[in-house]
Amino acid sequence: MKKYFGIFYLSLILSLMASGCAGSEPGASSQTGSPAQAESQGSQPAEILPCRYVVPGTEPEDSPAVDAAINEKLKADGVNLNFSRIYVPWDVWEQKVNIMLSTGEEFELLHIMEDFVPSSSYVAKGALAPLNDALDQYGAKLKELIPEDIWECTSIGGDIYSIPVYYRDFSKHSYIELPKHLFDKYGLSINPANMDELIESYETIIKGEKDPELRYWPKVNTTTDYKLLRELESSPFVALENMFFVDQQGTVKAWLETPEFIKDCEIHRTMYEKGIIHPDILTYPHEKVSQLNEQGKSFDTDLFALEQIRRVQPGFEMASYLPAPEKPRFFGEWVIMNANAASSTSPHPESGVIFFNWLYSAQENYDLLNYGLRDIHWIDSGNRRFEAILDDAGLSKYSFGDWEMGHKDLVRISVSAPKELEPVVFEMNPDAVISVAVGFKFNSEPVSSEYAACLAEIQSSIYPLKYGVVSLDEGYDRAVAAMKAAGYDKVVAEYKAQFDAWYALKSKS
Amino acid sequence: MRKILKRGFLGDIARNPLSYLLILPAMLYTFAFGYMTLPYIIIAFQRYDYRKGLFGSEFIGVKNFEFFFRSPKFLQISANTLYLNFLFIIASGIVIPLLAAIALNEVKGKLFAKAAQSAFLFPTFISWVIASYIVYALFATDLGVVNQLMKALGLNPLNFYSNAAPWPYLLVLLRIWKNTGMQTVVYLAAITGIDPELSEAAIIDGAGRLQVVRRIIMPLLFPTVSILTLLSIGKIFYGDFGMIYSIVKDNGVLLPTTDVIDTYVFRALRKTGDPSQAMAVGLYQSFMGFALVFLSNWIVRRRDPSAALF
Repeated sequence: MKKYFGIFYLSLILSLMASGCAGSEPGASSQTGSPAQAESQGSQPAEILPCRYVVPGTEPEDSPAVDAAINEKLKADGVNLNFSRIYVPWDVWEQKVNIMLSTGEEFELLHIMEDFVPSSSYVAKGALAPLNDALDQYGAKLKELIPEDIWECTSIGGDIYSIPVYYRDFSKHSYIELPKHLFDKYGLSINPANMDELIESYETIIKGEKDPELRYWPKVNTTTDYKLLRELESSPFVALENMFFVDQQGTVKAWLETPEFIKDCEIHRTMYEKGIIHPDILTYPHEKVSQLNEQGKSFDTDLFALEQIRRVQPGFEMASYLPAPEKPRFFGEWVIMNANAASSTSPHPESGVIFFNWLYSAQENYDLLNYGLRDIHWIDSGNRRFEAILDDAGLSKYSFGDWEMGHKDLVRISVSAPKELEPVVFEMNPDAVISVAVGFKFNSEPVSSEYAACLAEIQSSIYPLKYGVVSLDEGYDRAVAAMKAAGYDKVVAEYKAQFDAWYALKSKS
Repeated sequence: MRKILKRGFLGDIARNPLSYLLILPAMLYTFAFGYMTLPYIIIAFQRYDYRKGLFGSEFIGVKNFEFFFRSPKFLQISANTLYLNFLFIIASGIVIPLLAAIALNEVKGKLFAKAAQSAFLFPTFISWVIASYIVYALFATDLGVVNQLMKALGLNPLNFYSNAAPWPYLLVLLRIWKNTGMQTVVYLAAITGIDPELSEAAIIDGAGRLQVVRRIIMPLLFPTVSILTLLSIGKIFYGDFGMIYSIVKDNGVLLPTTDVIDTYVFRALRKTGDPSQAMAVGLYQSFMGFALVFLSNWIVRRRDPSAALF
């Protein structure tokens, strides 16, 4: 019995080791492209290059089938690439990517979430390869479809390190998306005269509805709710990383010592005291907030959740309110939030450029990656809409986020998506103001100790003030003193020096 | 040849192949993650560049340690880490599981003992993420069970998430709830290993149950308790990130009493993701843990060599 157990155990270990090794073997291909089709894709590498794309999330069931179809199409189009995806689970994304990069694991494309880990952090550690030459040689379509100023926004020190995902009008975030049906129910205006009136309206609804989940749910992170500050004379401006204030004249100040920050805290504190912001906002589970947004329990509705909300509340109506409407829409700190970069661990950084150039060169190519196999995973509903084909459990066997690879001219929306979504997805507001600070990437290396200490201190001292949990009287002096002890002044001085130098150069050109 | 094999290490493998086979995965794991990663300690002293790699990156001395040691929060988070871990070791590592193991050993009804043991063990298998939802359901300001009860009793509800003071004790209670089961199993196994004739002889000589526990079981359990405690001390500079971050999240109001080295480093480096600075703090934690284990072991060995780790 012991002997059989031993044999079984040994074979189990060996098979696990073998399967582990097999899984790490990158795919190889002997495909060759047709020279005629290759011409339509511009210059092509002589040999078939790998294009391993590292993306966050869980691999959909049919992802390998879609990758195979993409490779077939690449071959048919004469593009010398072998495409595959490496999925990294969300909860270990930063750690796993760091390990892959530090151990020199080869892959060609890395997805960048600027609000998570900015591309500048990767560049500072030598993790990304510049793409300028590859774009000149292989990226004609990319250059055609993505405007020059967007490339500038994503470049670092004059070099382009990533292909921006140019698909959503972030200036729409200037609006507060009000639950119109509730405003109508209580006879309130959906165009309040000012922020005070808006907060009073929220209070009226809160008192009337008595729904403990209906709140204003601010995102607890480093971003600033600029829409709440549009009435300020100095608006538009950006408050980057909760540390640096930059106005449209290029003036840099310590954000925490500006009247704008004080006003931001006061607005949130008022809402907190009136019960409009949840008392446990700093601890409330993020997943639960997302669910509540999808149930229409937010005073600032997520436009992209509208379709889902109407499944739960068919009578849900939304009204877009633009505070200080005389001012133009503002992109805030994000013109582009996602991008795809070339890893410096790969000997072929050009692969990513070739792939995206091919992807954006035909709607068919784009559809394949974004929505999967036509008539198997989705149906074309016309007018740039699609219908996902679901299984018996109501799930799709394939999906890939348009936020990861989308483009405004190629993206589709769901057949049941509300009409209100179309202008946000398909168009970019030409009049929206872009912050002068967009495109500037702070190199924190000279003040790395102080910068890290400030980042840690912000959550400890600033978040309670920023979200109204602690009043200014109670916490402001202590919070600023804690930030200064962490080296805030030195960090701001370094930021200002770098920004001024960059801005002077930018103004000249 | 046969004799030589039987005497040496290879001989031992030949005699106990299945035992070595059982330990093989753990050895491979330790080799891969414990030894193969050791060269990477060097990056704590480098400005690590992904392109230049381990041996090409620039050496910058102890600069990577500065962000942590020069932080104004260094003393506070170090003290929090030691204090919380000390409470965890005492409460959920020794006192409560030891009492639970002795109590379960004394229970005559087998069915009850097994049911109680299972109930103790169940929370071990609940992740801290799931536990954090349970904690929130208990202590939420508006709809939390505790506040609802307080309201029902005519008391003023408390805003637990705006008051840092009770959280070290709440965390200890949670740790007891989650860890007692597994520690109890270890102590129960140690108690089972005690020769029952010793207790029977003591009872025949007129000893009561409490005297048996105090004079026989406790002294014989001491080496097990000591070794487990020494192992825990090795990790005393590591905060339980999974637990604290899941429960406290980004709530700065609670951080004065709950911020530990791991949560602080996570907040400081989440954005920059600097592997060199992370390694520097990891090295400090390991070194301090090693020093403390060495010191504690030396003290234990002077008192009772059989209770020492080495």
